[in-house]
Amino acid sequence: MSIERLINWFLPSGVRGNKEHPRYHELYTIASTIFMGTAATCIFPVLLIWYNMGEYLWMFYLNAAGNLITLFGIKYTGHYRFFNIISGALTYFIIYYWLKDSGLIYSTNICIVHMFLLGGILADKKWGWLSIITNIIYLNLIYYLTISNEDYKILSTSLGSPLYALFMHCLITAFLGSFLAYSLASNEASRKKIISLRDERINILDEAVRQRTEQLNSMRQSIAADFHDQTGNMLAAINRQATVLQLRFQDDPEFLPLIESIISNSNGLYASSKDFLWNLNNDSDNPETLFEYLKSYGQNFYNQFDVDFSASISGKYRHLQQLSSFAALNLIFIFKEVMNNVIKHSGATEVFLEMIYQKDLVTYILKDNGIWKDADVEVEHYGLKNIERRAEKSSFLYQLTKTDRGTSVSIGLPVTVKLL
Amino acid sequence: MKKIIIIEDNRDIRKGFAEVIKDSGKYEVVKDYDNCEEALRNLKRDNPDIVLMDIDLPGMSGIEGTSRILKQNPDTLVLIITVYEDSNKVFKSLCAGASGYIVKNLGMKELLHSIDEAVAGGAPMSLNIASMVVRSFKLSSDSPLSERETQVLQGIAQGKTYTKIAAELYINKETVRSHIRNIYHKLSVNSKADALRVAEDKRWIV
Repeated sequence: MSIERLINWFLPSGVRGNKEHPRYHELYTIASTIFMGTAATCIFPVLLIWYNMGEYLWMFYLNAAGNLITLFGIKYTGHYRFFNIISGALTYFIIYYWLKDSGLIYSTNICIVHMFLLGGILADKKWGWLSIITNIIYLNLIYYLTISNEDYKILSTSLGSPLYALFMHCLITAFLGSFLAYSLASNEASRKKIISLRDERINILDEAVRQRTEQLNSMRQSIAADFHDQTGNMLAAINRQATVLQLRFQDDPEFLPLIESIISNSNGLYASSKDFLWNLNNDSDNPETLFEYLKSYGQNFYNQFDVDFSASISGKYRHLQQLSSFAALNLIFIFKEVMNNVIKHSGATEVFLEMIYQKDLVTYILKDNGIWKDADVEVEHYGLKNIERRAEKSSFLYQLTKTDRGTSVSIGLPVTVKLL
Repeated sequence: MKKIIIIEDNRDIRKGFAEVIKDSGKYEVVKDYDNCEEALRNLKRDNPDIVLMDIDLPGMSGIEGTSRILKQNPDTLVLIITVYEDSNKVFKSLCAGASGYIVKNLGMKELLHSIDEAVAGGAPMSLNIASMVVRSFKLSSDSPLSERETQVLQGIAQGKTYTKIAAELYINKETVRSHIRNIYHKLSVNSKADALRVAEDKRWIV
């Protein structure tokens, strides 16, 4: 287990491992500082045994316990300042024990007070500088205890005035503390500035993408509108004129097939233009939009033949899944062919369209209660071969299942996570 | 014999419709027009039972034309002729009082069948139109639809065919179509502003 994961374990749920969370950075810094401090507090004092100072070990472990309480406080409450204050007071108390027997303000152990200052400032970026003040107060208290002790006079003859020692320690605290606090604050300010510049840049890009999408969308709408108003009307005119011819030549076996072919071709052109225009829709890579389109097509198509048709979606809905480009158009082509096959070859009375969400895959299934005949073997084969070939070319998973109770064609489409 | 007038600016489509309808011998095409204004001027004289109405016309639109014709002659059956059945303009025309729509490239038999069905009191409804109707009734606080009409509407919005809905509700297909006609009627009477707001929704512009 890496140290990062271990530190993350001490973060509250919701923040844990979530670098995007607004409090992640703050809590991770405090938890990691306390964690490192605790580890050092546990390992370092073992050395004391070699110097016959094992009797002080308990202080270190008490301090480590205080730190652990803060860590669990962060984990379960999301707060740390209250625990920090308690743990800090405990640390000052422990340091006092060290100083008490080693010369108070004259003690070399005063360096621990300075170490504690560094830890405090590093851990809490916002209020860490307050430990400069508490340290100065604490040093003054130690000074007071020194001069209240009778033995200090003996020490002062060889070590100089305790006031001088106090002054030097306060100077170190003030200089080191403010230097570190200032440098951390300016680091934090630059970090925030970089983040805000990045956010600003992202916002500009987002806006540009949004505008572009809107532009494309309105372009699509105007192409679609033009199609309906002009091309669609023109195709309808061809169709109507051909229908008039069909009426006039209804008893002429030479012309009639030709006229019917004109009608069927103009209808085919109309239908494929409609599919193509739909595919220009910026949402056509959404599996559910595609399902709606197939459902609408199926409903309209089977209404002509009085066949029962219904549709449903199953599986767990996954947000922001997208199909690859042109997958939708290929699937529409395949399903139109399949829906047509049901009418031409199966004799089914009920058809069911289903979409199933799976992991990394969306499957579209068309089931019917008929049996696909091999009446016109060549034609059917050609149709199925076409479907298979198109499915293979588009990297779809294709499956045709024939049973006594019905036939089902299932097409699986790979999906990826949508970025925009 | 029922009298029909056709209002459509594309001459080929207009004449094509007229010839097929005339040939059936079931209906009389009294007159065909390429704009609404002229048709409205002659409405009294023509006195049609059925009007086949295009939407995009020079001058007055088919939507406006529909509501004016019905104001003068409430018993007339206005059927919209459209390239695309899912258009929001079709929905607007239904809100204006049209009784149904006919797709322009329908075959001969299907065209006559659609008119027959409209005369018999039925109407078609596509999935997208159904979704728009559902949304427009949702916007008005209390729906004027009966329970059966709501079930039919929901069935269509779910993608079911008329036969499937009929089987599930133990009614026949013609009854489903007459429920649709009633839904259109209520749509044109109730919550017009809400319905038009639905039609303006960009999602429906196809």
